[in-house]
Amino acid sequence: VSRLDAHVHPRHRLDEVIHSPVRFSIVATLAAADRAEFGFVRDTVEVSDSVLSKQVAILDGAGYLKVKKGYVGKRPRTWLSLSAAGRAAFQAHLATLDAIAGRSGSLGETTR
Amino acid sequence: VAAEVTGPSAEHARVALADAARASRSVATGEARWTVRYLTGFGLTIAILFPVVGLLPSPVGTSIFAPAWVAVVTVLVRYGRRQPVTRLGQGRLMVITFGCWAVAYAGALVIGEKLFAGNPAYWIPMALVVAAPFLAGAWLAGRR
Repeated sequence: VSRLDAHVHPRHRLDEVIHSPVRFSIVATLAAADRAEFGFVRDTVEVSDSVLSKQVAILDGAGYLKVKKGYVGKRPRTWLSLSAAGRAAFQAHLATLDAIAGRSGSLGETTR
Repeated sequence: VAAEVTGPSAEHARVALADAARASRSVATGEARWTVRYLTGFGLTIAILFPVVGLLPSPVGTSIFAPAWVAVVTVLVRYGRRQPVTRLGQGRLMVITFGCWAVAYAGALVIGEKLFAGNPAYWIPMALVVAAPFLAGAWLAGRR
């Protein structure tokens, strides 16, 4: 953090894509996983299929998410995972939230 | 609109961080259960089958071991592929676990066949040694 940044309120460093509550929950879930099935994320975040699809498209468009479709047996499955950019953006977002919350040292707790 | 102008309060930030921690726990819980079952399944199977190779005469032992091992591996791999989530770092745990098992298995098999063929005092304790990487991996997965 430069001297100039030190005088700027941390909210300016929040990632606008991740800041939405639903997208934040999606990214928080995927940050703890190598990959997760669409249905698992939907149930964890407690949203409908359509809401999750819409938010996944936004995260995918931002380059934060990877979507992989495949089959397990004859059943189609959609797997979601964070990209390296998404993981980095989430870490930075958490660090900013930590700064706003007025504490430090919780990153490992929230991502592992 | 006010939230956009002023940004989240400290309390909102703490709630968001708590939400991230909850999501992380949800992934950990969902993943740990199946990984423990998966690795324990491999461990128990090899603990039972390993002595079969060394204690029974050559073609008989192998003819029992090979199809039984292939069947169990097929079932467990299918079980693993059906699971909805793999936790961050699980791939590394699997590589280390299976790598350690492969070294232990190959070493115990070569030494046993050369020096201790048909000797239960070697093959039964070594079955536990060969199963140990899987059981240790299961313990680590449940503990993380």
